[in-house]
Amino acid sequence: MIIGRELRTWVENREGQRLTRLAAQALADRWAEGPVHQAFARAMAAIPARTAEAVGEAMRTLFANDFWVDQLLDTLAETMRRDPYFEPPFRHLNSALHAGLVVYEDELVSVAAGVGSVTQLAARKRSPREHGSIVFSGQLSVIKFVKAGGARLAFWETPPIAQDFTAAHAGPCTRVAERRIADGEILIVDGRHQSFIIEHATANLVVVQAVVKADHAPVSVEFDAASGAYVACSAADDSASRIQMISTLLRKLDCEAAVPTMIAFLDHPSFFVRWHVMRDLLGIDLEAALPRLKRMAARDPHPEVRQAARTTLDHIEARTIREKAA
Amino acid sequence: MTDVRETVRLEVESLPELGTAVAISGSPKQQEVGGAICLGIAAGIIVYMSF
Repeated sequence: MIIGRELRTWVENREGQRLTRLAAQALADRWAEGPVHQAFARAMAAIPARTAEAVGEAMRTLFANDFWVDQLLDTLAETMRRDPYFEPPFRHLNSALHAGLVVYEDELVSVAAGVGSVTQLAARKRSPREHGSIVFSGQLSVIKFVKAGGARLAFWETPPIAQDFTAAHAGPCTRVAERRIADGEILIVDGRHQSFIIEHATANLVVVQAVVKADHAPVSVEFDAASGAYVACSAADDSASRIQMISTLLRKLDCEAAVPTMIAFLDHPSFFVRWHVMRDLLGIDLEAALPRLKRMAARDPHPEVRQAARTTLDHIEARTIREKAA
Repeated sequence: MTDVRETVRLEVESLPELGTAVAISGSPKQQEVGGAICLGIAAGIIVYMSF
């Protein structure tokens, strides 16, 4: 690794590093106490019914005025010019095509501002790919194209992704329209049944996006762009995946003290979380799990969960009879 | 009535999985097919720019 003189000086300069951190913290404090962040917080607090649609409408109203995007980007650029080691005090959202920062987040919504790279988009379009895919995020989004970059979007739809979603009955997805987006245009895209892709752009895109957490579908779903057929799905919300990982960890640790907490997750809105936790519960405390497994087999709202629970009950019963007989 | 608690010790790995396999949020499973994908929360814009 080749380290320039400037970086070497900074690495060896504890006081310089402290000043860099202080600058980031000061900017974070100014942003959190500033009028834009406060306006977001007030708007979210004032929503009477915390539905995806109500949050989306509130965000659309807030996005009507986007003066703050330029101000924020200017402030960040100016601070970075003064101190090349300054890091914006926001969570980063980076992919091959997009660089963004999460500028507001609460239990209802996350707001990110970012830039889409037309160069990377063009490279992606030119690269040979066996499959293209259309992803439905499962969440309602409000997207403002502050600078649309001459983008043309193709819009896609699929039947609603609901709590009873199954791979066997998913999709298909269909392309329904294509059109050019204007600078300043705001779209509400309900990722529970709508999606879009950028077909073409002539310049970088500056985009502000609110992702609504309320009322989301259990899963994000991916379809094959050519055939419209279902490809795969993943948890729409990272908390569901975290619950699954922690549940398995607790089972591996044989943590009986966690049983009451695990039982509470048997009523989780996401079907795959309910079944995942039930499997782990069966591994830790069969006595506590059995009556709930029976209820699940009879009454869980998801057909695959009912089926898996029924199969498991049959398996337990068969083994019990075999082992008693032996 | 059979008391299963007395006799059965379950191997969790042998229990049935759901017919719908659900990958972890923002998982690489999607990247294989769809290109770059979400990082936790603001999945949308990255998802939409992944084609």
